[in-house]
Amino acid sequence: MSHYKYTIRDYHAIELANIMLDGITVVSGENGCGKSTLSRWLYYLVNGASRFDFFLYQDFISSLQREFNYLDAVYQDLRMTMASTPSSLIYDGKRRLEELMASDSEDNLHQAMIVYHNTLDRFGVVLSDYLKGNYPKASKDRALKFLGIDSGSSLPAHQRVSDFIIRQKKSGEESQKRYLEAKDRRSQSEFFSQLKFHYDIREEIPEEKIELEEDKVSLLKNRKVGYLYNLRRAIYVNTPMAVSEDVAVDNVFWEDLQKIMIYPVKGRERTKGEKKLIIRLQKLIKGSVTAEKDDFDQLELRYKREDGLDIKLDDVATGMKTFSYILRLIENGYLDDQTLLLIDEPEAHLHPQWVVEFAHILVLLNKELGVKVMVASHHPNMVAAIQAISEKEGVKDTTIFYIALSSDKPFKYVYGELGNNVEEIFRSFNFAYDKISQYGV
Amino acid sequence: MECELAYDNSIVTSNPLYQTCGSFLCEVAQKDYGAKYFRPEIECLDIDYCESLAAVNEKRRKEATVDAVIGVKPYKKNRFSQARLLLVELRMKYLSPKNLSKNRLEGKVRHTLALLSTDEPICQTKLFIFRDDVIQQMEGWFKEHAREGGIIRNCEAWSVSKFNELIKSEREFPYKPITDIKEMKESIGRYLRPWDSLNFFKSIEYWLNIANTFRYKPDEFHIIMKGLKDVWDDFRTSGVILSEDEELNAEIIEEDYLNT
Repeated sequence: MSHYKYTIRDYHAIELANIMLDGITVVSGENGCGKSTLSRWLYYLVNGASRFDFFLYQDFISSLQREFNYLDAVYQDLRMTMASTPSSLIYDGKRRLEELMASDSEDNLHQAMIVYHNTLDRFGVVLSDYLKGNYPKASKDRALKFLGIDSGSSLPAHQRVSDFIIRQKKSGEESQKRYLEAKDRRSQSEFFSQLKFHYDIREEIPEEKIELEEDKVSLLKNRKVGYLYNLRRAIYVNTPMAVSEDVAVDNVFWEDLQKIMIYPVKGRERTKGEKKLIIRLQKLIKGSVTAEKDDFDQLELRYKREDGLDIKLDDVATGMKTFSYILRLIENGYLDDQTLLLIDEPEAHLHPQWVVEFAHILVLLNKELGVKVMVASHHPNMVAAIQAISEKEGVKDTTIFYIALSSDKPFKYVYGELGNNVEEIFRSFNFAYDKISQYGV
Repeated sequence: MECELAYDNSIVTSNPLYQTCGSFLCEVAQKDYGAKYFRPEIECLDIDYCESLAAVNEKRRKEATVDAVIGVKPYKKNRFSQARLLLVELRMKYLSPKNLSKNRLEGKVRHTLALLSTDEPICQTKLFIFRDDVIQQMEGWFKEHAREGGIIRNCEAWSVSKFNELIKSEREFPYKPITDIKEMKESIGRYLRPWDSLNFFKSIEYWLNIANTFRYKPDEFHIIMKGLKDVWDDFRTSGVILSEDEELNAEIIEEDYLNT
């Protein structure tokens, strides 16, 4: 199992955080100390590194689609003029490219270029026919001008169209070349630019202030972005409300969570450890969660209780949602030894007894499935339970606690490593009792 | 005395007299009767020696006292009550009740109580210990004289054997469970033969929850868990066929409750 060291310095409220991710990491600290910032950027880094090539590929395919959009304006005009022209030539090309966007395999890349070339060739034939046909000169000139073809050239129409198609093909090939070069280069600036675009990041990019090491090898080195061998996916849950489809709009974490709660990893057999955790969770929630088509043929999550109650997951108690998302992620095959699960304040909305049950599940996720877990928690029961259960389950040595302490600078925090000793965290919790004494009788 | 007793040395060793006349009951017996008779770990105040010292210090005649004062705590319904001092007079050389004197016995008790002059609670009952082969006669004599009233009403004749049997170490008191373990086992076992997986697991989980309510009463908790472990072992060796989910459920129960 690989070891990870995650560092952020001088970013937002964080003056310095050196966080080890060996198994279960618990981060505690007062509100506004940057715990969510830590989780958020870890999500970006892990998923970004894992999907960097794919993001570049998506960008490349999108650039081809944009070329088709450009042709489509003219093509729709020609189609209305020329009776026998197929209606969906460009649309079919775009749709095929959309399908090929699903995976950045070499075969898909090859297929995408074939689709691009074939669509251009077919468009060229239609355009040549149009230019040869008995149609108003003004219309022809307008189309040629839009496409950047010289309308005053003495060359025959088919030659001019052929030259245009060749230019377009070259343009596509140059896009492909740029894509492959970017993929080969894996530059840090391109990486952060991709993160910003794909995760809709609107805050400052901590390009020089962030680092992630896998087994002491830096992910960001010499202005390049490496690969994480043993961490392919980060899942970030900052509130159990994220499982509600009504709120999972314009929030990348929630959209991501919704998606993986609904769609399983294909062709994957469940392990015994997964099956046992599923049974545990079903016993806890006294039922199951399924994805079923709604009245609009869209998949939605439903909670089915042992006694026959069948309601949308949106409508169950919030605390129940906390267990439900873990259940669905296991059922769908997203929680394994290549996964980093980031949860902010999982205790929110949970009764103290369920806080302990959830801590138990988190420890078992790490022990049985190898999931790396990072939890930000304010709750004495959560902290105490993770410490005690991790010891009983034999994963104490890879369970590490951190506390955010105020630094000398105002509104800045330094994250202190506590190993397995939670005394300092409880000292901070105990301030609450002082406050009760202060304000109460 | 109606209840069982455990000896309690702490109330003896914390008594101010212990500094000068602390001893072991068996040593006092050895000194007076040439044999130890009692458990070697029972500590006592050697009251006879105490009185000797007091008489010298106070320049007075030595009074008759009981031989020893030990500490005991009554045991009832799985609980020990507060420890008390217990006056013990050793009479292992007495072969006939005709040599017993009510006044003399009461005088011993009275002088002992005066000597103790403590705030520590003292058992109302005082023990007079005789040899096993004369105990019936001695018991008769004490009962007879109890009717006359006075301190003698609270004095009891015990044999050495009775003393050693009834005044034991705290560790020797078995916990008596609140839960009817036999009934619990039967209530689960009826789902084992014939095999009814749904109700068997439900029943096991019900009793595990009951056990959990006694987490802070370890004796009860452990007895229920031991009973459940017995039922579980019976189930595991019964050869019933489990579905995959049932087997996983069984493993979860073992991991969480029964493998510790």
